[in-house]
Amino acid sequence: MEHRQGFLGKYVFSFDHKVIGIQYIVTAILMAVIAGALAVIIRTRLAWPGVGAKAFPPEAYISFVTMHGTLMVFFVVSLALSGLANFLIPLQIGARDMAYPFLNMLSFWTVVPACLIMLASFFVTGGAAASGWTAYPPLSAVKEAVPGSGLGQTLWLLGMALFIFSFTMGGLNFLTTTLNLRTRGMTMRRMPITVWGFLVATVLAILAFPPLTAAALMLLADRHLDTSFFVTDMLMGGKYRALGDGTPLLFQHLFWFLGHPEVYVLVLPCICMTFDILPAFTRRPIFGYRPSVYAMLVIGVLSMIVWGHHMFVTGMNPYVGKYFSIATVIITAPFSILGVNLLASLWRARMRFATPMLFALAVISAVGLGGFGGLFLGTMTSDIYFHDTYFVVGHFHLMIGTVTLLSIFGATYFWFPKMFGRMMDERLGRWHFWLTAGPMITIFVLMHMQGLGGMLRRTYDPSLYPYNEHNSTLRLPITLLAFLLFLAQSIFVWNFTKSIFKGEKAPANPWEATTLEWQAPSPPPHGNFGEQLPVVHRFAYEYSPGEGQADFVPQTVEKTA
Amino acid sequence: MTADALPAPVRAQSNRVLVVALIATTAMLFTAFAAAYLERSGARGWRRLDLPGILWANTLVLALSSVAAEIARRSRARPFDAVKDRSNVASFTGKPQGIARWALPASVLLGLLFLAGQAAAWAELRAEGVFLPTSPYASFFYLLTAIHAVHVAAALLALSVALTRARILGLAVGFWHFMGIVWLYVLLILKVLG
Ligand code: HEM
Ligand SMILES: [Cu+2]
Repeated sequence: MEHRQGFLGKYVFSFDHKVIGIQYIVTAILMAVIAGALAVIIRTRLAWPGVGAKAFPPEAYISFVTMHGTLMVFFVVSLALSGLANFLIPLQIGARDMAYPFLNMLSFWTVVPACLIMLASFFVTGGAAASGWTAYPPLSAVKEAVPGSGLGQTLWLLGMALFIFSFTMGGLNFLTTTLNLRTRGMTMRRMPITVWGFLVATVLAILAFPPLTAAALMLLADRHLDTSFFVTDMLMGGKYRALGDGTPLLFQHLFWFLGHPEVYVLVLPCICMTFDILPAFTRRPIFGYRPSVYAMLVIGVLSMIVWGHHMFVTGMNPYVGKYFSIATVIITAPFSILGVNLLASLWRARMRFATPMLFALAVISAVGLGGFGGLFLGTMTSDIYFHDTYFVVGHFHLMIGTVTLLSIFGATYFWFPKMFGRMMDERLGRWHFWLTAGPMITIFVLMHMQGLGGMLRRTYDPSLYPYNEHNSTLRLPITLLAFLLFLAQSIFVWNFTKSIFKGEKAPANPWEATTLEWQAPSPPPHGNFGEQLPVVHRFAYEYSPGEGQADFVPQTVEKTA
Repeated sequence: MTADALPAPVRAQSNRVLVVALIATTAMLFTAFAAAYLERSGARGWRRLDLPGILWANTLVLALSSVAAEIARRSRARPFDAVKDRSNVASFTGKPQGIARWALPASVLLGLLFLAGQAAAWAELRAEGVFLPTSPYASFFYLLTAIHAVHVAAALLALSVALTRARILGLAVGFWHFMGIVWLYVLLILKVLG
């Protein structure tokens, strides 16, 4: 093991997976502040349409919505998960580092310019991209369509290209490390389920991102080299523009071929981290480890063939729609297995309600609520009504917003002692929990109501439309809750920062957990496990194995005959 | 890294996984282009172009390069003088003898020749007045060949590194064969489908 010295080598261009993991997490927190501030602006605009109308015209509104979505999906949740994967995978499988530490360092330092490019795009002429996080043409393809279609969109594509490059490099590391660097005795069936989650997510990402890369390249050619893959002749500002006869819908197919698997790339590791948190506080093994793993594999395969459910209203052949509808409803079966196993893991538990556990419990509720909404969207007939309403906004925020963020928070409280050798403050943690989970779930459930009422998404001033009158009552409460939610995050930032320096010193295994990372010192030294790598003798979740035995048995404890 | 923290077999195995993953992700990229091409070729106004004949010569050059790379790989895997010493059979460290010594450099040169040939094909089309935006078919032709060329360049880089680092030879050659297969795939799309 090389031990790189000096400040630069140790903390900036470090090869150590733990340092890189923390770098990712801190970057994600910084990006979350910006993406969250955008949400606050959006909600302000929706509650008081007149306020700031000069400073933020409709073009700016849609630009903020676009960047809020892009940053949250790719630069907050994805980066936070990359960080946790980096930190956890080698520790949980008993490796000293990633298989390719240099590549790992490179992937972090590729995503940093991607972040900067995305942020810089706010300050160029025309402002940031305005075609939604999905970058649909023609808004994204015709440079003069709206102000954000200019340089802002070009920078968006550039930033995304760098992000995909970095994410793929990271994924190659996760994959090779998990498959090849497991310590002696760590069979696939003994791996903590979090590692499984990251494994399935990684394979999905490696297979699903290339079509988006292809789409982005064709889009760039349309924008800058006069091709017409996605653009067609159209009327723009009252003038006829001959742009060729491309097919805008093709972009949607390519985008959602990535887009749908991407939601599982985000949500599977989150569900698995929740699985991993639970047993430490229920003092019972998780329920249905194997069915959960199989369910994830099935979800992984199915998730690549259901993308059309985002396109029911694009005029697709009804038989094709029927197929996508059935496939989508089928995917809810393995997904429910995960949800039910989470719930069943609580059965007859002697629960300890520490902060990570509170977040884990909230994740379970969010999985249920979000999946329930999904059923109505996956059914073509009802989706024709729900499409492009706040019902969809509520649905996906429960899934890739609430499930992910709550479980990432839970994971941070849970593994913080391992990262920094100190505990986070429990009292602040509880405040943060109630002020986060409460508003978050309420906001997005209320959005379902607005969607039932027919309120359309991506509308900068809903009061312009008379049919929307009856939806106006919920607008202000949602906005106020969003403010509360945003402000509450300062508790987390304060707790996180303070605890790094002043937190109570953490023992190696503060939660009395069984997996390998807890058998290493807190924080683990360079190389993680000292002279000898640990040897694994048992399943990952041996809690309360039986009468008269210890409450929990770490994976490293030898079986007695 | 001090030479390598991992035991050699673990390193070799994870290199193999790495190349398989790279191949998978690249294959998905070209699959996506093929899907787009198929979709587009069904639309109105679709017309194919006559492709420059030099593409066939390029195909031959790429095939020869693959053969040369394979010769290089086998000569390393089973060095001629190691046949007696069976313990050495599977190692990649044996030095190839005679003509096999030139197989890998020849493969790299043929690869470069392929790229030059592709550039000539582009020049020929441009001379005929066919540019990227000229027609949907032309757009796909330039796009597919260019993306393939970029990957070929990267694979050539790996082959060149293998000139001095025999450890990665097998993997570089594996990826190189894959580039040949992708080229046949691209030709199949452009000449037969749509
Ligand atoms: C229970 C299984 C699920 C079903 C049946 C389902 C179904 C759907 C359908 C049909 C849509 C399209 C709605 C429309 O645009 O009209 C949709 C949108 C969406 N879903 Fe789900 N979903 C499920 C679970 C999930 C999960 C687990 C996630 C995330 C982790 C997720 C994230 C999203 C996102 C991000 C969108 C909207 C993207 C956009 O239009 O901007 N869904 N869902
Ligand atoms: Cu979907």
